Amino acid sequence: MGMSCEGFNFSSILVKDIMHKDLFSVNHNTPTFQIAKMMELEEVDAIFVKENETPMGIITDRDFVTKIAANSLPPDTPVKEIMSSPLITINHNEPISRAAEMMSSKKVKKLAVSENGKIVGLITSTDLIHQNTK
Amino acid sequence: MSREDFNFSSILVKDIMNKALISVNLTTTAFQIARMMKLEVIGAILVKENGTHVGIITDRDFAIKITANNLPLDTPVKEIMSSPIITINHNEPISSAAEMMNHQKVRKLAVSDNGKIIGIITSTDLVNQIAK
Repeated sequence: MGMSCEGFNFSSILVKDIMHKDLFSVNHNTPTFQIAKMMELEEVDAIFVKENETPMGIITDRDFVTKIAANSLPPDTPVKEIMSSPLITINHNEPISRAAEMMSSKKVKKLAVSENGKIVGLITSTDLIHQNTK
Repeated sequence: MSREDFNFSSILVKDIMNKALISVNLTTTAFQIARMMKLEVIGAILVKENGTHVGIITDRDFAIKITANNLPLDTPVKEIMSSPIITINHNEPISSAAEMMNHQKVRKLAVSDNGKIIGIITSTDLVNQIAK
């Protein structure tokens, strides 16, 4: 990744350096229990929701509490009914300090990463904390 | 703490932990807990047995335990909580909290003082510090 231990700081590392590029996505009609299974098997906590191949929204583990369980929605509820949309995005060339600021101000733990208007990655609060322990 | 001197070794867990703890007992249902998490805007609730904290339930448990396994919402929390609780001492620097979250692959730690749980610290609390 080309960063030295001595020179490490949150302004010199870019979002694209640490973002997840292996993105998980589902169709907007996918039932939520299938998404829960994916989260369990793949050990991920956010999945993009696509409509006509374009990411339209995101579903995170928190949605299972505040939307499914708290409202007693059935597990076959299609994801489009509970996803968060539009996506909150950050450009891939921004420093990760900016990602921290956005998460803090928008009160979210995950940001979609964009490049020329396309979603190319995901960055999470856990990723930022990993950087801090290096 | 001064802004110039900010770093993850100089701030202690007790400086930024959440002290308003919400606890339930072993038989509280998943549905009741989901309502509490939504209303209080929190992602972790401690579980008590005879006045002692014995487990924790987080928002992730609702995805990977309840919905993924199609468990009913009247499932008692004792069947889905994580136990024992992963704790960090309140006098540790937040850099240690970050390391522990990484190592244990969790986003929430219970904070202890003389064996008693007195707070919770989350990945969001650490990110908020970075953003300052």
